[in-house]
Amino acid sequence: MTVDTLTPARAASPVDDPAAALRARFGPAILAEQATAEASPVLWVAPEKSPEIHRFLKDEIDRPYALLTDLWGIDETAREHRAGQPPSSVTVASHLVSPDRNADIRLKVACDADRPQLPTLAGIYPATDWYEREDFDMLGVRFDGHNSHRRILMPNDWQCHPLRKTIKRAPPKNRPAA
Amino acid sequence: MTPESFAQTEPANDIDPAALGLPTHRDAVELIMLNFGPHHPSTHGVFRIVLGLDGEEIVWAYPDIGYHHRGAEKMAERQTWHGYIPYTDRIDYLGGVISEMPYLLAVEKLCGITVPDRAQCIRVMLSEFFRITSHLLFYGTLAQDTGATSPVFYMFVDRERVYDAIQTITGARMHPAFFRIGGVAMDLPTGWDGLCATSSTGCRSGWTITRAWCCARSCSGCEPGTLPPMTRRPASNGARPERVCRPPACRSACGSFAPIRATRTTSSTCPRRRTAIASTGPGCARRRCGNPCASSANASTTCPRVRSGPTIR
Repeated sequence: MTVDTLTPARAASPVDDPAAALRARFGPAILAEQATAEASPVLWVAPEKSPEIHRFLKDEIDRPYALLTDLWGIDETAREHRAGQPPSSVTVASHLVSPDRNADIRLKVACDADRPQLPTLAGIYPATDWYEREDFDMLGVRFDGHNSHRRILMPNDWQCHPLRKTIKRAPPKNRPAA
Repeated sequence: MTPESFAQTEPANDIDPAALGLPTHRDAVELIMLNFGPHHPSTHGVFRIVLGLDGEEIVWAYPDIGYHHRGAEKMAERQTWHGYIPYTDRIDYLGGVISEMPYLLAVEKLCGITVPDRAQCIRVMLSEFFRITSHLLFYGTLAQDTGATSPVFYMFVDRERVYDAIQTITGARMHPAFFRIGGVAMDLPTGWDGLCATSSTGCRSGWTITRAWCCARSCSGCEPGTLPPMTRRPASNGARPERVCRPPACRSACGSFAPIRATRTTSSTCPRRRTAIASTGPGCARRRCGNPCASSANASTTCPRVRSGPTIR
């Protein structure tokens, strides 16, 4: 299996390179490019510029990234080998697809472990509404400007954010083990 | 679940329309709030929509999900890379091996593992089998939910034929856990190519029903984040459809289909193929069923995993 057949080829021309376009437009807000095994770029962006960057990719860039296919959180507190990446305890990543380019881009925002917080994207990509509720439910991430931090998967009286690495196997107190 | 915890949980999951900004009245008439699911037969136990009703008219609908959430990611934290494979079968319980594929592609990419073409071909063919069985159930129950009770029976007959083929190849039916990091658990059985002669006529009629139903929605494009098949439409701007541009597995695997067929050792005709299946008796332990199949003659009757054997109609 070759990597090329699994993922769309990365744009050959610098004009078509979204990472270069983002750096030209947003400069220092593009914190780092993460080296991965994938053909599409993975960029770390500044939290406060995240909505602007997403809006640029959706509305302004040539052959835009019209589709947000996923948005998810990662608890990175136990991760090693993060050379070249900004420090992050809880990372929120979004995966955008451009049907016109047949290309992807992935953006990551670093958050603090104690109080993970970043601006919502719900006004730009409506699809993020439930994804952001899921991130709150699973990891306790707060999205400024989101209209509801109601739990989406766990019951409403659940006591923790279960995908945090601090949550071990023991059930919460109001869920006695069978 | 104790009575105390139940008493605590139940009110916590009630929906309060006013708190959600949903209307409680229309034209001075109080709306009836109705829980549609999760136990309603047509929500299949996994989904609830809370409805605000004015007589027979739905004024608002509030979807509530999570009844099917099992914390697969959390389970993965306690598993080895290999030990997690069976859990992926259950992500979509109708998808069988299909959900093993994205997990293993990621693991293999992380490790730089190249999967042999033959194994890729087996993976793709098994995934296609499961796609057919999954769609058959989906089409059948979709029609049933609208009040058409006949189609689901035709769908289940065809589905059973496909499961017979899956059973012969993997030893299991719904959740085979057959893929491995770097390939598959074992090679195809002798006479495997005869298994593919099964026809699923029901699928075609189901597809027609569903296509008619979905065509109105499919024009909505990227905004809500819809993915194929809802967005698999004739491309408006000359771009090729998503699926053509991004084959889910290596395209070269399809090219190796012909050489594999050439290695077959038995005819694909029905009686001889049945013989070939029965002769896998000693190989039964290989299939992890745990039942001793002493002789090839009684393999198809003593081993529950191959109890009926595949039939081609």
